[in-house]
Amino acid sequence: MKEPTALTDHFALDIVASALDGFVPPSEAFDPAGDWRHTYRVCTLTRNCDVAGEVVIARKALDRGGCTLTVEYHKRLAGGYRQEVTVEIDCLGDTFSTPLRWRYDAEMFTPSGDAVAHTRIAHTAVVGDGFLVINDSTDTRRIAMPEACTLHWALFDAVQRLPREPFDPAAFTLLDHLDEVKPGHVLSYRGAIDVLLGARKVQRHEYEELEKGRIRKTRWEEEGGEMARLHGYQDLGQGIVPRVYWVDKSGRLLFLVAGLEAYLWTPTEAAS
Amino acid sequence: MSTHNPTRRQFIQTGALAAGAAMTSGSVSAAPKRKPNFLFIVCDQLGLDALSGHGCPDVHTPNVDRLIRRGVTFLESHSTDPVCSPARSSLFTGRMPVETGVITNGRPIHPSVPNMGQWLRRDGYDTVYCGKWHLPGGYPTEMPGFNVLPVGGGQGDLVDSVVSRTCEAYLKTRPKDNPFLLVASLMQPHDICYWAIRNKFLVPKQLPFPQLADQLPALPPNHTARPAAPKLLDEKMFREFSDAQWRYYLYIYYRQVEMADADIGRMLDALEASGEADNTVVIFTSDHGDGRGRHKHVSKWYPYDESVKVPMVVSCPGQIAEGHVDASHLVSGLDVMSTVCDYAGIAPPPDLRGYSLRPLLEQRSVEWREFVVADTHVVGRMIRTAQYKYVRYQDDPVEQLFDMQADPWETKNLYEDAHYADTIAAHRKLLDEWEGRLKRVEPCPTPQEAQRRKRKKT
Repeated sequence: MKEPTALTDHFALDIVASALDGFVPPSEAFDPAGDWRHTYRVCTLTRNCDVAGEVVIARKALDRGGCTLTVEYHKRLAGGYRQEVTVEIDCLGDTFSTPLRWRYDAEMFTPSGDAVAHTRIAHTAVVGDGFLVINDSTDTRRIAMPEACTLHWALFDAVQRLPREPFDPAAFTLLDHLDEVKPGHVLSYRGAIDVLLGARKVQRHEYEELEKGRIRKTRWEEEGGEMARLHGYQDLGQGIVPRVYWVDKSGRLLFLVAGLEAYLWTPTEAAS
Repeated sequence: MSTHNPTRRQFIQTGALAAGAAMTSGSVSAAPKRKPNFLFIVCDQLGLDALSGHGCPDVHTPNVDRLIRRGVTFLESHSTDPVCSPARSSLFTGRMPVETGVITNGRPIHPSVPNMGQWLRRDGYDTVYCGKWHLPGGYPTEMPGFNVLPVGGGQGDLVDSVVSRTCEAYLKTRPKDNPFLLVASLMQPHDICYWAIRNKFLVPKQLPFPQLADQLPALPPNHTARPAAPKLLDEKMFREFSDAQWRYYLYIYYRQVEMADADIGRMLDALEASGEADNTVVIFTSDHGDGRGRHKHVSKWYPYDESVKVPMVVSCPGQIAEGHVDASHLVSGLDVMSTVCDYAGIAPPPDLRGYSLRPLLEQRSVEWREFVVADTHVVGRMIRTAQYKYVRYQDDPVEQLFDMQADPWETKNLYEDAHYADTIAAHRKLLDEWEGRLKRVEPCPTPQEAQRRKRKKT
């Protein structure tokens, strides 16, 4: 392994570096094709890195291959309101974790926990025979769908099982936010980087003697941390700003950065 | 129609005059018996020509394009002030920013000026707001005249899908007793603002995706044009990126436009599924545009077309002409309030400055305005007539005149050319008269100013 570089040396991670001060990468064994459960802080990246919610994604491997993904997204809204989103997705175990069917349910709640009227929306969807069919209480939508398609949530699973080395870029249609059809996407390997994770920024003071007296100079230095090799994947295509996924050496997805939006892995107990 | 608008020139037979008009359906029925609903979709920072339906080759906006095909799109559509809050105050009141008191960002609308929600609610409408407000708060949970569907928490890439999903839920589950006005206010493509502000990170010197090299949009024809300009206008949002950085900036902007388009599609689908589409007037616009590298500008604030021109698309199956491109009539964000009142069959509030677009939407003969005005930087004013754009800033010796027919990219300031002295004088006069008619109010304090005043008093 080469000398580790700073997060700020790498595009996309540079934007979230301040939020990763003291980040301790998980050390437990990880099998991307098995059962797992990850929690991510969802951040909005404007002047700061503000937390806009938490998302918990759990994978349960199925005997017949593929998996069921369960997504629980707790979105923080203005004024203490929140939106609770639950998605359960059955996926193939292929390159894209191609979705077969899913169930979606979302509703908003007041700060005191009451449901906000007319904000609940639920649907089920099935993908197959060249179509995506979405059913809710009011209608059925049937959308032509190419074979290579996936959901943004399914990519959280898929990238963890991709080769951690260059591979032929894979073209697909993205179902963003479940039902927004965005064609012309390409998923590819971005490369490996060796970075220092878990370092903390600390102030160092130095004193310099001048003719008129002593002055104090302050500078920031990174202290501690450990080297980690991260593998990057990128999704480029219509209707999204480029999304860069970073996984660790065992494939665990640690960071996803896309424009002003970031998902940062966090220990489950720290998330709430 | 407002009684306060100047109508100096008559435009008769709008269909014949509209250059490039492509009517696919000439049959426009009489007014509906039921009061119509309104779905008012507002984007943030979306320039008029940043849509594939308006000819932009670098973006795919199938959902706005289907709205364009189903309705009337205006190619001479202008913001009243190309910055968020002032422009929005006009969209929701039909008054100029100096009349709403919202002359800069983050101010509330003056309490003497009713907003669209307050006005329609009196007439039995369910008035519902979802998304960015910015008058003054970005995502308040309460606002005058509207029931708020709360969203918020993040920029456009995190918020807009919540807005569209929540509007979908409302459209599919709302009580059917009353007609509705639903405002769906999307944030995108405003995220590009932070692209510019945080250019150190977001527009890195080394382009982060070499694979995109052959997909980056071309630079605009007026990229390097720097016509003489008032100081405030010239220095505000000028950037010196490399060509590749500019093109990457454009690439990102158009992806953000596509993000908004997808959310618009979700809401249009929901409207159709609700069974209310045939009785719903859909109005689509933006508060202002974005520099997009034209005149080497990012962001907004200034009166060049990239910043001041915005989409204005209106549709309602069977009631509004379909597939009509209106390239001649000068329209403004002021016109939304008048149009909504007209279709709702209620008298508009007093002193509206806008025109109802209804005659143009229904292909009827009408007298139309000769000019539109936009405020900029509080002290700047732009007046646009059929051929010219004239700009002046208070206490700045540099003024601007562009021949918009001969020089649509605004590259040559004709102000110093003696040949145009009469034209300039005529535009000054129009602007002076317009300014004289406005009923100014004391700008309401921003929440921060109000806090400071309160502290001083105590």
